Amino acid sequence: MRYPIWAFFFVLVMPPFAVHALLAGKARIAPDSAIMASYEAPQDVYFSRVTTSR
Amino acid sequence: MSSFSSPAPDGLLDRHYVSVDSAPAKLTRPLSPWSAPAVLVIFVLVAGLMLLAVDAHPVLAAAFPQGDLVFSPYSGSHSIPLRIFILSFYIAFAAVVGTRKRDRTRFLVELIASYVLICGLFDLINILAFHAIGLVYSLHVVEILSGLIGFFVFSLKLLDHGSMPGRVTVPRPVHRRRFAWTRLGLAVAGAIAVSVMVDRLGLPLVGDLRQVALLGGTGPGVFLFLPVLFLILYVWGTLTAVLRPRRAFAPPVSIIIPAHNEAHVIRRTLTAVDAAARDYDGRVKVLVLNNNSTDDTAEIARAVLARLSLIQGRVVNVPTPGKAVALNRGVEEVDTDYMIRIDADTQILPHTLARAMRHFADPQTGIVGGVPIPPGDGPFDRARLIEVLLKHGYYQIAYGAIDAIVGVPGMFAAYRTDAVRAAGGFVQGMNGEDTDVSLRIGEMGYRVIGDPQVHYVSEVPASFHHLREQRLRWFRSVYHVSARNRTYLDDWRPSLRGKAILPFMLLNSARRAMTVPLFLFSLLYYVIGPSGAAPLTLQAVLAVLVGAPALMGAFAVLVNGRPRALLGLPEYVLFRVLRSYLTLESVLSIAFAPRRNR
Repeated sequence: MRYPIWAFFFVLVMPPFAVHALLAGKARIAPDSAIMASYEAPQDVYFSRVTTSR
Repeated sequence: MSSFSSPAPDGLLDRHYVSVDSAPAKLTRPLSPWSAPAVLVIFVLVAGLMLLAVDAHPVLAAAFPQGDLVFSPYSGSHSIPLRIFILSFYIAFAAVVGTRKRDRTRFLVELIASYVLICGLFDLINILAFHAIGLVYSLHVVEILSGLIGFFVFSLKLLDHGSMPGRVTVPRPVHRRRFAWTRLGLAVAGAIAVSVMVDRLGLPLVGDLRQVALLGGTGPGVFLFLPVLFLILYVWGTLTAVLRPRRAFAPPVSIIIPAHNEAHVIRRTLTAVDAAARDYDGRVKVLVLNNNSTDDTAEIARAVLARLSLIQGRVVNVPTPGKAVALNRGVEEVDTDYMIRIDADTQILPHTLARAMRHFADPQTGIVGGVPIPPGDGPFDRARLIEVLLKHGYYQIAYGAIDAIVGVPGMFAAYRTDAVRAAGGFVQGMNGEDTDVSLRIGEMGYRVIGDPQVHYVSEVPASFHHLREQRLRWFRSVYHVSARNRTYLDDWRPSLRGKAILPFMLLNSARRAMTVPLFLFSLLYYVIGPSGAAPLTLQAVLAVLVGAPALMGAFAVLVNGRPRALLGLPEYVLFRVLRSYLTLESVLSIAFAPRRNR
């Protein structure tokens, strides 16, 4: 079995990008329970089944 | 640059630069000048339709309120819809590439399936992370990562479907290079820390730069990461070079010069070698490899060599056309422990030999390269100067800090002769024989050095046609070299070049091929995108096209101590756009063939 070349993205690109985004405020950790309880996304968080008017 | 063509018939346009290496048989196809424009037209039509559909169709508009095909949670409401961009480009490219409809269809299906699969996996990870820890990315980040996936998938599928050199066995390592991954990890951590810190400072300058699109709308944190990473590595590489103990070392060296119909320049080239030998303590031998010339190259070279006093030289006839054929004949003839290859139109400077050869005092040094300086009197020379200062005077030093230099250009490269022989010599019948041999020598564990103090003068194409011929070769070479040395990419050894640098180069090549379409996409989005959102998109794209390259170019010029080169910055920015267009043409020139052993 060969090493999958596309693993480059998941091994070397995504993790540092995620850390960077978190530290730079381009990603955040929101309390999931609150979101699910209210069935509404936080103010500026979209979810695939949440629709908004444009 | 040495060439291997037949002389142009009288009265026809001189295409002396066209050679058997311009379009390697079986690996390339004849490229119409209308192929790339056709891709762009189809792209605009497809992208326009997809944007309108996602914006206007009630179901799609409701499912994708942000205007792109994103399925995972995100924060923010708008960004450039890069997934639509990537899919539109795939469709347009696949409509034009290759010659058989069946190949095109299969290529397109695999491209889209792979992209959907990896983006789907990415979205799935984000959905799971959202449920597990509440992780939510900004939509900008989702889009940027989607773009990177799109670039990477494109290059991988091109490697799979294009006609590529077959995979070959890679030579066994003879030295161990340690801590390269550790050094890269530390530099990445440092780059994240610095770019985040700058972002949090909220400097007025950053805001001002954003306004003039130098940093775009994606925020300095994201934009600063790569420049800071390379700055850290550059400083690291420079410090390492300064602190490395040096001792005089001037062993006997052979210079091999492949030449085909170079009567107009060979005298100047040999005289420059003789002048450099004056400043070099070791013996200098020269082999002019007369490769099927129909002019007076051999006679002139013999006459000049007989007259010059400091170098010993001879002319070797190599009747089979092909630069690599000539080079391999030179490798056979060399009887010194070190050799240098130069092009027949490369003029080395008095210091070049001495500065390059001193690195071989370290028994682990395998190759040394330098910075090719343009003569300065051609239409592309000012832009090319900034390009080489950035690539060879800056990025190459940064890669050197982590022992990850992949290619040393054949215009001037000094080698340990045994290493060249162990690497299998120079590959024939594909583009990038210089990158191929340096990659293999580097992966054998030898140190590959790019010394910004080693200068030489190298020709720059003086016409668009010559530039196009050159760049089509150069930009194909990353695919040819990756295919031939695919083992470095997909074996389980933790090769930094194979697992990080070559994939990055493949990703970057695709990014360059998609730069002109991206600019068109931003204009399209400006016209038909959601109202109020388009200026941000245009600003970000302008930052990618103009601002960031200009800043990096200016920085490289200054750290290399050539402030006058700054005058060429506007030309450099335009040159980069032209270069991007030629990259698109280059990938379109790749032939498609039935699958072989890969």
